[in-house]
Amino acid sequence: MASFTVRRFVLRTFRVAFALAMAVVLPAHVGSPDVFWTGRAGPYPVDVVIRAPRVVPGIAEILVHTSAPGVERVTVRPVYWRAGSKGAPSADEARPVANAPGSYDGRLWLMASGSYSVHVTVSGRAGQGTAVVPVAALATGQLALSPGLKMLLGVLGALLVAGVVTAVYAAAGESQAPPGETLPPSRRRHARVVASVGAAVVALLVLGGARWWRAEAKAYTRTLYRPMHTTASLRDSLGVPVLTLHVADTLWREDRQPALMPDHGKLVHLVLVRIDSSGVLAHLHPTMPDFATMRTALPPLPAGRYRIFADVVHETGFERTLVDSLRLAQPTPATGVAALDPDDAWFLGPVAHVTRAGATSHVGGGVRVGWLGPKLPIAGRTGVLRFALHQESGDSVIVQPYLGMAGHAFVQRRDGGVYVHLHPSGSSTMASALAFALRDRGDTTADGRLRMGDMAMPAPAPEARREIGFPYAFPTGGAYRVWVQLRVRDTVRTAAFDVDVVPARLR
Amino acid sequence: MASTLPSAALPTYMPVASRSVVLDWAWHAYAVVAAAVMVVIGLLWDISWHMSIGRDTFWTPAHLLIQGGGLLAGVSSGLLALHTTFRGSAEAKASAVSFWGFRAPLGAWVCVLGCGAMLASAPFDDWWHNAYGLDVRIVSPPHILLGLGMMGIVLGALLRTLALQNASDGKVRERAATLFAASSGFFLTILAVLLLENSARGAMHSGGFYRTLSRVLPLIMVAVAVAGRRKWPATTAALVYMVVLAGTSWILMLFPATPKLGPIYQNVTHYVPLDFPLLLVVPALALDLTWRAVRDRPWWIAAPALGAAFVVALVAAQWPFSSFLMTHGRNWFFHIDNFVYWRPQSSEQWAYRFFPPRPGQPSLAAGLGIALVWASAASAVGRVWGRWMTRVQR
Repeated sequence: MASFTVRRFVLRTFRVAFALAMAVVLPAHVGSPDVFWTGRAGPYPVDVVIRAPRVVPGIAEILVHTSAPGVERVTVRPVYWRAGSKGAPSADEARPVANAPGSYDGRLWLMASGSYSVHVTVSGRAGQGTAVVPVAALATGQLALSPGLKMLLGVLGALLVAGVVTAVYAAAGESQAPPGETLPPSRRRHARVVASVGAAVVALLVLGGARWWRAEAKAYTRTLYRPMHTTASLRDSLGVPVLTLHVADTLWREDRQPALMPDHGKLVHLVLVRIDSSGVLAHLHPTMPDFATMRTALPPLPAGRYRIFADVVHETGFERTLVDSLRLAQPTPATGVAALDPDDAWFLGPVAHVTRAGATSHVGGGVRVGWLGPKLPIAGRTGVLRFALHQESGDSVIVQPYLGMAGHAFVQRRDGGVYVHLHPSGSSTMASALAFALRDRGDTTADGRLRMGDMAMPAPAPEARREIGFPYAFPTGGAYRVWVQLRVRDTVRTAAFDVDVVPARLR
Repeated sequence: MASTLPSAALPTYMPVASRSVVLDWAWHAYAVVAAAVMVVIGLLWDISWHMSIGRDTFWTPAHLLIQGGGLLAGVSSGLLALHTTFRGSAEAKASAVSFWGFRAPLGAWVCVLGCGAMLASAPFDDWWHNAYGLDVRIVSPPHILLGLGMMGIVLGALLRTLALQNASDGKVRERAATLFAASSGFFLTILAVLLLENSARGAMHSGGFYRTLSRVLPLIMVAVAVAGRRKWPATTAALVYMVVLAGTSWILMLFPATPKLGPIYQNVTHYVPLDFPLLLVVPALALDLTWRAVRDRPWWIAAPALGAAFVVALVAAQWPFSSFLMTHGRNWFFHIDNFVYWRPQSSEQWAYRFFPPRPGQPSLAAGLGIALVWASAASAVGRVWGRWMTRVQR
């Protein structure tokens, strides 16, 4: 029923408490819940950031920025996958942000769990255009009761309980006496007995209410998103090291989960990261012999403990990251290389440390990747991870499309609490965007399957670049590692950087 | 001529009015009754709002009406208490009860508590939404706290008019008795709203429906039949409930509303009304008549008689009426074909059918038998409550 005008302030205070009181587990992009999207709404270039709610039904905050001139109006509209555009409410106006020309903010009510697309419509002198941004609405966090609120409710509750008992005493006693007459002692005793019984009843009601609250909290935790249970195993197949990731969760069944759709021709994008300072990363594309199994050969990797992150996209546009770990007792031989997918790439180090002066990584072929910004990143500050591209000869670098994108970035907090796979267009996959575009063709897609044959994922042409950027905001402070992968002269080249992110200060 | 029972016809445990009531407090009685009206209509409006528009803020008209009613009752009662305690005449103090050193009529204190509960529920409800999600159900702990607060306001109005009725005579008593019956009708309306989720039309051919109503409704209906000094107090209360519920629905349906939350599966253009009221006027009339016959009997005769009258009359009225609604209810008067915006069209067909019996559920005969037992128990408690109410003079 509520939404105070002080709600914003309260929400902001709670957000800090969230970081302390919450275990954040998310469907896609471990530990990084916000959606970053860069693209076009018709003729207008737009940047969109969506801060999804931690509870469902809940409210997401959306920030739209466009640098195009002549923009008159920006509206936002959440579209639930199962209902489609026809079942979505009318769009809401996004208000211009004071002192930030070109920026508009709005709110989205996400009322059901699952996959949403947000239609951002920009109207102005150049016409009207709509961008479709995917966002997942899932309960991911649990809010604690702040000590101040606990005390306030406690005091109010105690007052009410005392008041009710007093009212019962008055009702059983004095209210029965005719006006002007005093109460006989027998009636006063009777009133005290009734009041004691009343107090006992109220105490029982309060205890019952507390039990009910605990039951509701427990029921809520059951709706929290939980990552699918997986097992990872390594075996030798005729001399070739093969990694098998098996989704062993009971709920991972073809009749319980929407089918997976390929993102740039690959059903799974699997990344292996070594848990230490070496920066070893393998970007692989397993095949799926069945719905629950992902299998890939391994490139030559040093021994050690690795984290596995596997990104998949469902036909509802829902993006998911499966997480597991693997221990390599010995380094894997090079025999696996021939069995790899042609788009697989791996990196063995070194890692450049970002300082105030920036950092540079040599990626081979005469190409250098430099860290342009942000040099001193602050958690929560939306920005762009920018990298300079240098050729030895001084020309700009000819970047070829790699998996349909100009580049890929992987951001990981060193303790594994955050993992994101970014593109220059943002944190969403192209498959997800395509799923929403196909959904609204007007047919009975909600009950059936998407017709994959219509899918065309255009890849950009090779282009000369001096810079590449990935929109992002680090969710928390800490030590992070960022890998950037580009295809130059038919080889995938990886640069790795270590950067320290300053925690956001309490506002 | 008189619409109230003459003093000679009252049973011996009922006191006769001995003093003139303090009439300069009459403004307070009108204020709390008005507050009760605001709270009840605000509640019905808010439910309809959530079924039609979905999205709300703290400051929607329906919320303002509820909050306004709560504040009106709480502030007027608080002012009355302060005035009586510090500036009241001896007569005024004599017609009040003591509460933590202050003096005011009992009904005023209940209003203050009700207002306090409503205010306490606000921060609690806001936290609840941030922790467990925005509302999709009526019944949650903060909503129950708010509901108890609203019931407190209406109960306060009921007790205030009750004291006025009992302690006065002549024209004042007539007016007070009418206000008391009306306030009871508002209380009945809130109870019916709390039972909304258990009183769907599809359940009206199952024993469970009658069992649930028999646990709750006779409590207030018998109490009103006992304590009201109008000729047909329970019937009047039931009529007020039916008119308020149906009237609010018909008026709301005239106003446009568009859903502002998805997913939207229905084409909603106007406010979605609440269900047509239960035909409580029939069991209420049965209770009024039965009470006249058993008012001097001991409880072990009176309670079963009242319970049986309630169940038999309710079944006799609601059972055929629900069949009628299923077949002839698709019009603006009975409005059974107005659905909440989030109801998928594929599920509409179930709105026109009665729920089949579930395996493991008691048979209809057993269910009605259980209902009879519950109704007798509730009538016994209602009778005790009613007799206490007849003695309230402050």
